[in-house]
Amino acid sequence: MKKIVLLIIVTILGACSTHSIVTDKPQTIKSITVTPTLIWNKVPSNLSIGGVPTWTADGISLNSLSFFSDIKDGKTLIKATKKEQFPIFKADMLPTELVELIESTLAKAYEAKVLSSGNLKPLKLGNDDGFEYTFDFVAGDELPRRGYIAGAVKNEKLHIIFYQAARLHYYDTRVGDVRDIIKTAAIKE
Amino acid sequence: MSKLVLAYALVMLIQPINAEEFLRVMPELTTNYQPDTSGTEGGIWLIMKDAEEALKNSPSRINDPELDAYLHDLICKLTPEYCPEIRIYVIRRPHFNATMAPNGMMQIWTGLLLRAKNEAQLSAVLGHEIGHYLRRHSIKRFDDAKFKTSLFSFLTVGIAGAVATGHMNLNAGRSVLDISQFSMYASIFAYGRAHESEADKYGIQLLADAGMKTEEAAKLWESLTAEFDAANYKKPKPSLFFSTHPAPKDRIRKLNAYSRILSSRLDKEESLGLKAFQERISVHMKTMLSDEINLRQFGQTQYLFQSLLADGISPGLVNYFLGELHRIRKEEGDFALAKQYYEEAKKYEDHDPELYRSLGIMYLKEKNYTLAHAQFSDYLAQLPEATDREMIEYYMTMGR
Amino acid sequence: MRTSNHKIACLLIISSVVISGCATTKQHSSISELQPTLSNLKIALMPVDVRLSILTAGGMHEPQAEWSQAAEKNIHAAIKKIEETRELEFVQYQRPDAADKTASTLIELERLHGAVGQAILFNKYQVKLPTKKDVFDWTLGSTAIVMRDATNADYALFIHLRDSYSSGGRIFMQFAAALLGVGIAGGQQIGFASLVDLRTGDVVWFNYLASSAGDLRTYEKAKKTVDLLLKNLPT
Repeated sequence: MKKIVLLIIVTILGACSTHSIVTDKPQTIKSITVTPTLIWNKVPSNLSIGGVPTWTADGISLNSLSFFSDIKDGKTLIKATKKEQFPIFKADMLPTELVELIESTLAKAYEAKVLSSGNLKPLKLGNDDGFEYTFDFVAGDELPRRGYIAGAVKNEKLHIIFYQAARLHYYDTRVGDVRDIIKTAAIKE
Repeated sequence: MSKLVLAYALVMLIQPINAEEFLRVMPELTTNYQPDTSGTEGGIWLIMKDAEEALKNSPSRINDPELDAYLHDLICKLTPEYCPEIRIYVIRRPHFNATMAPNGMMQIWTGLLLRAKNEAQLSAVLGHEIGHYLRRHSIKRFDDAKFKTSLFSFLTVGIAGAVATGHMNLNAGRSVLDISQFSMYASIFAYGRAHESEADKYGIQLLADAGMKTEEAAKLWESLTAEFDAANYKKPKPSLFFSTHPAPKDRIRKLNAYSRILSSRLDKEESLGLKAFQERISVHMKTMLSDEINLRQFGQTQYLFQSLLADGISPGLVNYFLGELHRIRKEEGDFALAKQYYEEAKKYEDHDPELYRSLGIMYLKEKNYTLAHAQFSDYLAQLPEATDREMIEYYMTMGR
Repeated sequence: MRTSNHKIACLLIISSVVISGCATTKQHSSISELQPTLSNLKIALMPVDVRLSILTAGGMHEPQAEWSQAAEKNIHAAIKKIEETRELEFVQYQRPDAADKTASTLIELERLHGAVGQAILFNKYQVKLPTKKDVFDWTLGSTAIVMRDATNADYALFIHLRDSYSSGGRIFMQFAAALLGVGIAGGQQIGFASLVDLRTGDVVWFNYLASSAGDLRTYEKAKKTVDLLLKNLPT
């Protein structure tokens, strides 16, 4: 199922579920707490990337904000069957390696191709040392997209906030709010 | 007298298979062929037209006019009569494959460009595909119900999907580039055994007519088989090549036989076309090697990279990516091997500055801070425009 | 299998809208009339995306080239009629040459429109976004001006239609199923038309059509569909 181009919704699975509102109050997603400043829509789980909690502003074919949390050493980023060889997270990975992990997972799951990458920088996620990273990619619908990631490894577990949107117009509409959200982020002890 | 007859009969009996006559294969396609729009074939051409429109501007397409011109010239060497109607698209996909649609649209995947060792080997594949095209093999399949079902569900699933979701952009339907639906893809591109044989024969005939070394055809399949064996898959792993081209041993044997016959008829030196080929693809080596690594099929990739190394192809890059393979794989002994390859890559002009970053990371994880810092310094010095400069500078503060 | 049952259920829910044989349209309009920059109002007509297929008894959509070509012709003729009666001027959009500097932007705009159209269909009319309940702000963004400059038109009209026609076998199955009280999606016509103001990129008018009747293969019937699709298009 993961092989279906998720980012452009060819999946018919979710056609009967609904979105709910995400207000500008503190939101807790597993071990991550964030407070958005703009209103988002919560995507039904069967429409989201790897079943991971995801928000959208204009529809997931245009933009999405996903939260990966509590990924343990030895696990893949998204659920994979035994046949699929997804890369696994190791607790001693450095940000450069975590970027490889994410790009490689996207490539394997959605035939995503990275078009350009850059700006890997240290970033504080709450009180924890983490990183941020921006890259351009395309998936099956061949619409150029931009991804922005903030992540950190805390107590040997990986937490990632992943924003992606159509590079033309839509990325800019919410990236400011995403950066603000990340400023408010905290990872549970 | 009877002894002579007996001896003659014996000789005939033990005569090897390759003494068969090589009857020339003739094209069945007329030039500038257009199908009847009212039939199934017309419908397929319509879908192909959409797919080609999408391919033209696809980010998956390698848009290198010089490479396209070179490949087109090769095709014209193989079939001067039909090459004007053939359009080439080089697609960035790390799998050995080339396909030709009945409307003359040819896709060449980068995985093929990486594995062909010279023009002759590449032309063997192109000639094989042209063989399918000129003998109208895909058109002949259109009456096969099972084939049609696979093709339509593969190419037009977007219509069914569109009904439910209203998904309607230009690329509606599964992209013809999308290999995730493997079994369907395989059944579309797997011709019957007879057609495969015929395409092999036509292909090698075209090679011979173009004056290229015909023995390279079998050599290519041999190295592919070896690569796949090296992968050591416990269960049959879906491989596009092997699911669409069964019984490699048999075809290798036949191709060798044909090559012997055809070569013996030639009076001039056959060309290999090494230099021109390597020049044209060298600029894409880094992308192709990187895409291979991202497949995470380490056994197969390792064999391929070692083979490139043995042939002296882009040693700086290949050593670097062998380093990457071991660094990412993290099995016993990989750490040391990775470092070895990075150090080796440094010796070559075409090495990539990123190797310093990879080495730095390895030393950092070993807590060998002095060595790590040295690599990171070299990385930043060689790549002043590095987009991860801030992170690397952060790494250099670690261990203080 | 759980997923395919779910799939069928959702198809049924969506097609239940059209089981009675009526055509339904859902529309949004941000504007009541077009406001051209110059006195000369032009709408760039994007390459009409229409594909007709036969829905076989096995549920397969077999594409039909002859029908699709006929449909394209009919749609263009119907649009010409609308042009005359409603005092609009359509200008056929030509896809740029690869050598063109703006080619990649224009292509990206087209692809973006595909994603936007899909988001509207999906998130406005099917699996709705609560934040879009009273808001319609889907847009291609300010880069649309590149398309305005390329076409000299202030607006662009996108038309997408998919139509599948039941083969004899399918109709029989539908009939039999109806007797048993089970709904099966028959041949269906589905499409949308979208009008974009190229000066801002905003989708100012959008019409979604779903029908189990309609036939694009003949001019008279195609005209009905196009009239329905472009009903209330601002002028």
